[in-house]
Amino acid sequence: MNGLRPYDLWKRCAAFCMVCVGILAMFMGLDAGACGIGDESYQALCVRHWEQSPLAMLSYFIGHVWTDMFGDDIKNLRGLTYVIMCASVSVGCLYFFHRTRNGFVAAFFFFLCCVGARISEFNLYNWDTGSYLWDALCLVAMLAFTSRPRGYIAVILGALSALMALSRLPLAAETCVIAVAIILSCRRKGYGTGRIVGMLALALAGFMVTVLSVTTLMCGSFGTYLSAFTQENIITGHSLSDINWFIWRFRALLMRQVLYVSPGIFCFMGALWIVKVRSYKWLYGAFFVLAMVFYCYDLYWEFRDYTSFIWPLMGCFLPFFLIPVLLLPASVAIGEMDGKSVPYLQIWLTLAFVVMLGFGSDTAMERMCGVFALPAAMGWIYPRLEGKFRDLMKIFFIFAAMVVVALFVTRLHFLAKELRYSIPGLPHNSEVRLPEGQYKFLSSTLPMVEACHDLGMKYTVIGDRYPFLYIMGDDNGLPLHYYDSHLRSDEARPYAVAMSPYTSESDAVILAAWPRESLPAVDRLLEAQGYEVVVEETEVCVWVRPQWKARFLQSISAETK
Amino acid sequence: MTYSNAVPFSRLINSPQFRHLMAWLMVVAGIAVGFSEVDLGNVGTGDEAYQAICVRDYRNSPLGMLAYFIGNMWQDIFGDTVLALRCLASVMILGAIGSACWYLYRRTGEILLSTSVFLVCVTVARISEFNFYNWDTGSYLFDAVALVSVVSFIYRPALWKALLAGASLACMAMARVPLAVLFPVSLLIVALACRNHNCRLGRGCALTAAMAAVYILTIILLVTLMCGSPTEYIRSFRAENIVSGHSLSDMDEWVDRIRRLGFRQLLWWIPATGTVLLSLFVYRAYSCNKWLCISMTVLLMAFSVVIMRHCCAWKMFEWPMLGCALPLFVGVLLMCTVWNRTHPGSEKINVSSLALWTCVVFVALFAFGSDTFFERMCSVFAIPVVLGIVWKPLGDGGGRRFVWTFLLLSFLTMGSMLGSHSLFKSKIHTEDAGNHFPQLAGLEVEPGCLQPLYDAEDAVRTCREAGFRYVVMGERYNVNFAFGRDNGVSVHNFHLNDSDASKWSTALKDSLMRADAVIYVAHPSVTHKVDNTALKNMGFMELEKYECFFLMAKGGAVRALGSDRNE
Repeated sequence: MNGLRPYDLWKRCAAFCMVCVGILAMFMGLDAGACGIGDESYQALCVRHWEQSPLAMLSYFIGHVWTDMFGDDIKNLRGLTYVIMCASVSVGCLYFFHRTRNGFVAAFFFFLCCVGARISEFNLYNWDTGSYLWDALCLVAMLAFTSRPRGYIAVILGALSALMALSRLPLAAETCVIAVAIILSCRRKGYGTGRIVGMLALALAGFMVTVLSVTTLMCGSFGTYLSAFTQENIITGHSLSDINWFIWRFRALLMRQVLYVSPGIFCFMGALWIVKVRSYKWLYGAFFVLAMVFYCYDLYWEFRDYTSFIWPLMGCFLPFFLIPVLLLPASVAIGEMDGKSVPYLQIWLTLAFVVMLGFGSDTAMERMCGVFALPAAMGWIYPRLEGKFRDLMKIFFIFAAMVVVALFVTRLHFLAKELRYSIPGLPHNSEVRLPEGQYKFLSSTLPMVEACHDLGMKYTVIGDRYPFLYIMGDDNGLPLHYYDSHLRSDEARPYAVAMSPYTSESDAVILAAWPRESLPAVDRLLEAQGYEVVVEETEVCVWVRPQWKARFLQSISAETK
Repeated sequence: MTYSNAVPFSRLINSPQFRHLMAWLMVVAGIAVGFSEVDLGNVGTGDEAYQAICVRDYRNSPLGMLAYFIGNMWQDIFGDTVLALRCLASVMILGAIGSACWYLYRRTGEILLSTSVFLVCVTVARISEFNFYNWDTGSYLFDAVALVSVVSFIYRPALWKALLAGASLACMAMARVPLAVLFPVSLLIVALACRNHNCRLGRGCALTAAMAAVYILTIILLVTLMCGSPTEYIRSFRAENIVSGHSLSDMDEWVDRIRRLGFRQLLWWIPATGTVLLSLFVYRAYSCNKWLCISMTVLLMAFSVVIMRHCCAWKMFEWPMLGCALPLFVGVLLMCTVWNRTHPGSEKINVSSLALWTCVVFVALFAFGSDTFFERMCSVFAIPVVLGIVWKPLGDGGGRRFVWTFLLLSFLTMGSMLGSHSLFKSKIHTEDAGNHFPQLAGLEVEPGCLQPLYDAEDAVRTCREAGFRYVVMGERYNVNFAFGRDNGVSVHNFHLNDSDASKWSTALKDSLMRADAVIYVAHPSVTHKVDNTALKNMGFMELEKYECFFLMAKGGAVRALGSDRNE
């Protein structure tokens, strides 16, 4: 401290504060909402039944170990999400620091990416967030390999790609990117074919050894892991035959996504203007920041139906990643700069890596997580920025920080306004605060499930069933991975066919949240199986066998009292 | 403008005959585009049908009387059909753009530029502005002439320009009364222009006084022509003749409407905004990376079509992507300003800021008095005027190359949207509407969309023949347009909330109390349907009910309408 100039001292303090604020922001809102109706509950159930979820077994295994240590509660799983997110961002920022030795900018990226992750990426524990740390490490190892192609790094690359694949099986596609990275990096260094093949072999060896070790750790043997791959254990709606569904979903979400990415694009346009204009830069900058704050607030207000706990503005961070990464190649393409110093290999590899993170999902844009990739890529780009390009990036990132903070604060504001309810003693959801919609959803349906549970009835929950399975335990229903919303088409005929064997053995069927008239095939099935409708409300519909009717109705009237 | 001799056929391209041929082809193409799709789509259930009723009853529609009067005369010549009115709307917008492009030609002497701009603006207008006849389209020609005459006056004050401005401003005000706000603004602009040209005070006062005198005189002549006397015109300003939802007390609803529609408008602005930004990029980068520029252009065109498709902008005639071209206007407007702000003093472009501000004020105030701003700020005929202002100062350099790039990309983007818009519409609008309803002669509509009219027809005809009083609820304008006015609230009670009985106005309740029958019609997609429980409490008996139609009656009408349904 004594040898530091005041400016350096200020920078160190500021860097420390940015790191602290980033960590603090990352862990805010753990209690926001009970377990979500779709992904969050489903993934939490996969954590519970990790041995039956081979598509992301490592992620669920880690989650299971975590919940064994800290308790099977949704808040603990969210805490794990943020720990992994924080760690993955740290990996990227540490790599940036290693490349540039600029601690202040590294801390700034940490802050930007932590806050950006909370408004743009998944805030729930799933197979995406469960693999982020391996993704970040793999990306950094790949970039490190491009500058120093060594055998041990190839082995580490292989091992990390195996961890990625075991955390989320479709990420095995990243091995193609890694293979290309190895080949091109070796060729740049003038390695011969034999040596390249050797590097690939080392990576493959690392991959295989890791797969065998981790699967043995989790399942006892690789064979046991393979035997988990049954049709029942594979999630519906994610195969090549679902391509129509992918296209429909892409089109349905495209326009919302375009508006989500608009703040990032405006930041770049604003930064470009500030750099180009001759005078009144501060005035334009202040006006822009003010306008963006209002815009961000309005954007959140407009989409507040989507911005529940598990759905922030998914993918809104993408421009903050894409624009800096593509700046240099774009400038060369339009003749603004000489292409000699542009790290094309690292840029295109990073882009390919991030794009491939969306592979295997029915919605790609929200999966392309750029928060840990940005600092890693900037480790290569930042030192090469000079003059007006460096000014442009500085102003862009300042605007970016203000925008992400504005979005984050707005989100907290709306969450604080809307999370006004609680259900005391809600299993696996301790001390969470609920928005009105979720409160009505749970408080109307949960008594039905509890009544069936208390009476010892065999019951099947359909519709938005996952929260009730997570809260009350397994029912006599469809396999976990039969994602209900994928079976709703064609008057719900596929749904009726899938549930028929289970409802034929059950005493009660509880439809959560979906309107009964949207499932005519299910209605016909249950009538044919001898059920009677005993409860029909906005949020819930219950069918029971005639012999259980009186006791069930007595039980729920006691429950509601 | 000259072309490099390296361009093939450069001598042919440079020849005046070729240029004139191209110019005429563009004008013809523009006119053809201007009348595209006029026959596709049923009459709009809101604005279009309402405005068509106002055309029939122009004397009781003082807020846009001249526009409706012109429409009425047009229908006397060409027939009382929706198609005729849509053609009139096309004539008005073509006239407006034509006037502006004529001004551009007079300022620049560039025939190819002027006719290119004509074609581009007409293409843009078909996707971005109202295509049906209403008080906006009915005033477009006068708006354009007023803008051109005021801007022309700024450059060279002359008496005839002041008189023309006064007359056209008066026609504007008569065609859409809120546009009267532009008269004092124009007087101020004219006064400033006189000061800029160092006119003597006396001359300046004389010019403004002449403009005001012609304004007033024109108004008097017009109201006498339309109503017989100014007194009759003033008498038509009764409460029941003033459209609802457009007063200052409706401010909360305006704000809410802007917020609800704001993000959709942002989406609709993406193609035009992308065009402006891409023009900047292509203008800089074309020489070193042609294929990148071409790829990005194709991408923008495709994305624009996707946006248009996503917004289902092709389903209704009333609503293309209204206001989507505003960024194009802003782009040309700010072109020189942005250049001047980003370049040192020696390279600055000297443009008349008063002329540019006049364009801004005119376009912004076109929306005055409406409850939705973005779709009313018609800027397509302001674009040629702005180009006329900036063209000469740009000089023979990169600025003009940017303008040509901008025009080409605008045509490609908006043209691809318009083309796909037409394609989608022609696929779904396949039923001939004129077979049964003469007012809809010549229209091709979506099969099934006339069902509400078929449902209501018998009941309406029975009521009218028997002299029963009946009220139409739901899509009342279409029914009233097709069969004649009902005995409900004033047609100008536009934002009528008839789906929620607790919000029924006193006028609606009174008309229902006096009515013998109530006919409700709605398109299946309508979510807020009228609850007939309140009507039952008023003594109405339900005679027939489907998902999108019900018929209720009381008293003597029950038997008449009941037996009619049985038949």
